[in-house]
Amino acid sequence: MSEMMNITRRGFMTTAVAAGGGLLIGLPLGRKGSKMALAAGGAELNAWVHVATDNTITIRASQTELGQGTTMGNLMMFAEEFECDWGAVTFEFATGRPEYVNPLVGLQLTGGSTATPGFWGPMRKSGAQSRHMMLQAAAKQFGVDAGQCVAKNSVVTCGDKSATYGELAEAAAAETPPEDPALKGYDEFELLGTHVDRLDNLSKVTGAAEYTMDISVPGMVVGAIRHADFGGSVKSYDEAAAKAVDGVHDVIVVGAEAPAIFLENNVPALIVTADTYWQAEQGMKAANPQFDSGQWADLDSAKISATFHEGLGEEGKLGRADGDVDGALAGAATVLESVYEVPYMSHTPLEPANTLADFRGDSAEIWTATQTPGACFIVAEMITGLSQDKITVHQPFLGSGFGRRNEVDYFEQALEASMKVGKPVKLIWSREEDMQHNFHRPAYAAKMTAGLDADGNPIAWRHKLAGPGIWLSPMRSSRLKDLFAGSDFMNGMQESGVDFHSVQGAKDIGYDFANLEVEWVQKDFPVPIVFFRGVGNTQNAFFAECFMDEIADASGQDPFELRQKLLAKEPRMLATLELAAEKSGWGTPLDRGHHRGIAFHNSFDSPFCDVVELSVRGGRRVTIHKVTRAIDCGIVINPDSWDSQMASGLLQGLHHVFLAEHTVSQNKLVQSNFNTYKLPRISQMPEFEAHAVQNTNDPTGIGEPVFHTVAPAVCNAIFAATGKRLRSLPLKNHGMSLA
Amino acid sequence: MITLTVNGKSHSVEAAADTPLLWVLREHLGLNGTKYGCGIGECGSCNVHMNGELIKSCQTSIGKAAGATITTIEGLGANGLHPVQQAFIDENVTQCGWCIPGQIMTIAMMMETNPEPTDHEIDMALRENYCRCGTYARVRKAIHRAASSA
Repeated sequence: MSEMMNITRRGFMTTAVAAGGGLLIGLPLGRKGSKMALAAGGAELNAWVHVATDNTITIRASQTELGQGTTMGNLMMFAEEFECDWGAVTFEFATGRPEYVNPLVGLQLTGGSTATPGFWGPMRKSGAQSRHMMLQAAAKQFGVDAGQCVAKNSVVTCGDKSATYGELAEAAAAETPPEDPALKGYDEFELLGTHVDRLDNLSKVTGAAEYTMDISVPGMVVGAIRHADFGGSVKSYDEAAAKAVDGVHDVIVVGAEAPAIFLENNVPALIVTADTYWQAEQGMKAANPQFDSGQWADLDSAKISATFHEGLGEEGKLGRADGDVDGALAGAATVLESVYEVPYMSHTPLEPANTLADFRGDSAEIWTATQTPGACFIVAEMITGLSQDKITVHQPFLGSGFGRRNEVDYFEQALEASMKVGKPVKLIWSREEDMQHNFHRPAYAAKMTAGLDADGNPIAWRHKLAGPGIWLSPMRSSRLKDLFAGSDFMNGMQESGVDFHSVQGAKDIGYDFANLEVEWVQKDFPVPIVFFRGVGNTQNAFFAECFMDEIADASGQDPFELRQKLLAKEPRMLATLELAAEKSGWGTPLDRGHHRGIAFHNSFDSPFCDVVELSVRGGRRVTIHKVTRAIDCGIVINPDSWDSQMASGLLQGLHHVFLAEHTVSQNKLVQSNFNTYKLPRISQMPEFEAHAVQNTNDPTGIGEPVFHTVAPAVCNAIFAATGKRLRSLPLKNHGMSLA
Repeated sequence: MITLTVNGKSHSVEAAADTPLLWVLREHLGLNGTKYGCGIGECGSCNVHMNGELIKSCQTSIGKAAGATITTIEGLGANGLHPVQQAFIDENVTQCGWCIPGQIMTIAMMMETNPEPTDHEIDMALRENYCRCGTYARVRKAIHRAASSA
């Protein structure tokens, strides 16, 4: 790395180290906002809102709209306190100001189900402050005390005097609001908790919604890309042949040397640019790039799996150790032990990775499909040497992401390419590149051990994992590990040797076990890995909840009642479990051939339970008749978005359990497109109902926890139907398919 | 130079004959509502209408589309929103939105000949459309709503 980058990085690390522990990782702030196209006139009251003279209220969204509806939730929180006319509300995506930093992450980043709980305080507070600014401005105009004025529906009134927010905006912008305004109580909510229609519907059904791939700038070229194999390098390519193709401009290697950063966490790639994407792809074919796999040339899934299984016999690092598991197992009436396994899995958002980068020497403007504008600013600064006030990052709509877009690799590539060719570059990964060079949910194997006393009560529980770590793997894993280097969070993991996400959902399991061990044996491979919706819970809920079912079966207990007993000390979790059981009619007679399975998991502070009712024909063909879902996520901000998330998690969960698998052969992923990495179709979407535990607690996440109970609930129901215990995913490998 | 009619307007396009219609729509004509999802005809994100039939624009070369009449999502509601678009709004179907234009084009074509499809017929019509987010249940509802409003 250049001296400039070292300086930048040291500056960054100083801030990060000073910033505290857990997931709260402070980062340098103070960035330029994105370009705004606002309704005419009026004024900006603060980072969050602009009020136009025609009373259009533009509320800004810091959190990325991946389809999950987080924009709606954050807007509603603000509008509830602002007392504006919801019918006049519009929104725009904003980046680069300190206010947009996710307070639960310390970076402008959307992930970890933090968008709603993280902005629950700030959005309502700034909404209330904005309302006070309007009241204060109106009071001056009316010649009364602000306390005599009332704000409602974008109008401030005092007796027979009134003024609209649009009329007051300019004066209000000069007002200083109270530091800590009183916020509404739950009973006073008028917007929050009601079904509110999405504001992006019209643009999305007419094709007008703008995604990064839809944006063009003058002088732009379009880039196609081919990555080297995992851990490999670019061996050769035919530049002249590529340039002989109509429309082709440039043939360059990115990610191999400065200005590229984090080179130990890269594979180099070849980019061919042209006037159009199709020409760039033809140029790439002509370039015929060849790659060198180096030491990993013969890597395949069998070797990876064998290494994990060997690892389960080795000593790992303890993520948690309560009581005396060995002692309890020695004294147990029954000891159960089972080995489970899950494969690599790609996110495959329908919009492939892409970025439009325009490096202009003294400034840079980038449009990118990212969940992490915050990381984009930092890496752009490191790559270009420009100060952050010279860098603009736009985040348009995203064609989903599911965690993958917390990686900024394609952002880096596009920016490096623009610097090298001296033109704006729109880099588009083909679906094949997107799938094969995705950062995957890591593969894992697990050995689950339980000791039961003479009454069948579990008295010891050991959850032992072998596999890679998103943060600790020295190979290609999250770029955030590079950005967060030196933080208490990273230092803590390095000291303990336990990766936060490898043991997530195992270490913090909700059940009450007197003797409990969670152990992780680190096994690294160069297949790129990162956060996938639910992250560590995706594997650990499957392992733990299927094994819990094994305990119930071995001890002759009802799977629901066993869980009920073990959650007795956790009222929120217990209520969620019981709600799902009640709504699904657990224990009531079923139609002939129908069977139920249950799975509970606590993650992201939102306990979740699924009950699946299914039948199995011929031992292989699974028909899901109904899924009953229950969650405690505190108050439901927008029941519309909430219901969509419940559907979304179910569909993805079904993909996980039946279909999702990437295998490795000769250091490449075998599955490269939807013909071999299939998704569920509309005919496979089962009937479902979802229930929220009713309370008035502050909201917790719904994006992540909705996913990972599907797989164990399905497998447990299949066991009930067939007596077959399926301990590896996906079920297609066991000959099972979803009708 | 290849000539084709898109959303009622005639266009002459300078592109290699093997260029997929998808990329001509997006990059030559600026009609970005048609989405690239897979490039192999598996996901349906690029579905448009050509000469009154549903086609996958990533699998149709511009050479084959010469002289054709094409409708994209931008032209579907030329006289206001198509009933399927309106039903998608009313049912809040969209999530990320990437698959939505392709789904709507597919459904609109189905409803030309089958204005009141059953769930099974909906499943068959959409068997080559992927949604990754999980809109399927609401898509069904929206189709039934569009059918009853027609």
